[in-house]
Amino acid sequence: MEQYNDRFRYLLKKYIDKDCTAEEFQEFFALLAEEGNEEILHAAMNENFKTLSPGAEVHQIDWENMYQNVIHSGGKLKIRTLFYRWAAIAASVALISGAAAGYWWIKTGKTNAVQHLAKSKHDIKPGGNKAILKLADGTEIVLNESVKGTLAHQGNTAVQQDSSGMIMYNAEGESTSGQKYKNTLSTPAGGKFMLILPDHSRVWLNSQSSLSYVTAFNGKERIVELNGEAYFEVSKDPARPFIVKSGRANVRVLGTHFNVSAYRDERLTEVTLAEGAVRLTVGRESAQLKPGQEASFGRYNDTIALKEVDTDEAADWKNGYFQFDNADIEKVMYKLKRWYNIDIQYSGAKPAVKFTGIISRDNNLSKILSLLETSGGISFEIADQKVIVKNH
Amino acid sequence: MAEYDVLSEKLLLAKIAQGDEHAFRQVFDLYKAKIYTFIVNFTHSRADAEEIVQDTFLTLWQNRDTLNHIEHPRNYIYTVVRNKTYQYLKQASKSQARLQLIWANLKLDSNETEETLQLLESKKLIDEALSLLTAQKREIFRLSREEGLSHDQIAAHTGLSKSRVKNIIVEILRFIRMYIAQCTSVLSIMSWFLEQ
Repeated sequence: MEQYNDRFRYLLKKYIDKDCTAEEFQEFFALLAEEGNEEILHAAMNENFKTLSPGAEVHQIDWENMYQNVIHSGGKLKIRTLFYRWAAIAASVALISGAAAGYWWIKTGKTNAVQHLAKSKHDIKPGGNKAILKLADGTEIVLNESVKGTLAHQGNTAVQQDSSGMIMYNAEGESTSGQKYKNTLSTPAGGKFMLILPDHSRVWLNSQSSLSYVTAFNGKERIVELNGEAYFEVSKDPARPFIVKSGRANVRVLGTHFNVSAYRDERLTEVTLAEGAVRLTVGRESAQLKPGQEASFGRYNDTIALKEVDTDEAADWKNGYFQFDNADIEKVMYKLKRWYNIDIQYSGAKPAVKFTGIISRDNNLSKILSLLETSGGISFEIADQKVIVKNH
Repeated sequence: MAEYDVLSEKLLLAKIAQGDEHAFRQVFDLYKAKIYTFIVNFTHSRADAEEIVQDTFLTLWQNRDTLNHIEHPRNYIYTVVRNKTYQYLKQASKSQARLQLIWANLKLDSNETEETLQLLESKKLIDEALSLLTAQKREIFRLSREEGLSHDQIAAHTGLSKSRVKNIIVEILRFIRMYIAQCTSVLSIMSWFLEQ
């Protein structure tokens, strides 16, 4: 029994941290009602309630409306609770979901594609949380999910990795010396990593990318340098603008959510704005972006082009998806290349096929290629760490 | 949240027991944010968390005549919330459809305001996904997508708060997206040729 309880503790933590696999998620709920587990859950809830501080999302709730609902409910139970209502509807839903939902669940994570690619002996697994952290003195720390706790100190700032695998910087007192510590986080092909900067801004670093920053933002500006791709959620601080430098480009912001894709091997550098406002400067050119817009510029030209896009597509990788909206084969293969750490070779002309859709990055490569194949006009061959794209 | 002051909170509960709305409002404002965040932490659903918070205060208000004898107001309120949250999880564990909703929130959580579904043109899959939801949620989605009503209009129509309508729609979109992404047996990737 003790063993089962340990398992439940482990699953509970993963569930709360939103870090569980589909199987672990199912297991967590299956064990919920087992003997002893209710107490474990209650203990975790007690702890959570004691220590939590409300998040920013509480400001989005219409509290006045709720208060009025409660007060004017009178003595009767005017608003039936969630659970009563659920019981009423449950019967009708059970019939449909019994078949449909169960079927879909079994499908996830288990490759049973019948295409010939699935039989390929050397399938390629997706990437994961991998990175290298380079400290100010040149020391390199290899990061993966198993590393936890304080990794190093940079002046008065502690560099820590928490149980969900992200890196964060915590100031442990006033910075007295004026010394600056520059750190660099780099991801390999097939790696990604999340980072919380000393000002609490959150950064998701995509594969084959690197981000450099100082470990305490004491100056008038918060400056980071990016190669590759990252999604930023910048904490608001109007007194100290946040600046992303990437090659010839500067993205200047006050507090907002946006994606920067600046791979040297891709034709275009793209900045996509989800929320707030940013200003992009490339050489002498400059443009102000509105939410939902994407700005891009080429390798040899400073001209900035603006267009309206689905901002979710630009940040798809952060949420664990590949998302394509009428994307050409080259763009699709670039994304696969970086996540699966593969080389791409075209046999003959590049197929003039366009892709639209969404698919999980947790899949093995063969499954994704099978799906692309079934769309017609294209086939793939996997050889070692190489994928050959064929036109037909 | 301010420092916990047992005595003054006991006094507040005693006043509420007498039917003092002003005192109830103070307790509401004192606990609403903490309770809400707590429930979101365990349910991962903002829409359902709002309903559970409301349900918690409703329980307190409707049983106000028993509040006279509470020794530890914070513990008491917490216990009400904890039990409701636990019940929610236990109910969810019995239904794959509800688990799928939680799963979609868990995996597709981001700070998106409202996603569009332009990409996902498979009406059949969307209908399939919608059939797994409660009638209330389906109706809200229909009002939003087919009737083109604003969140304000839907709120007025259903009697729910605007924030709740918004969160419900965001979570339904997440659910549909997850459903379609996982339905790999039915193709989720479509393509077409460009004229060469």
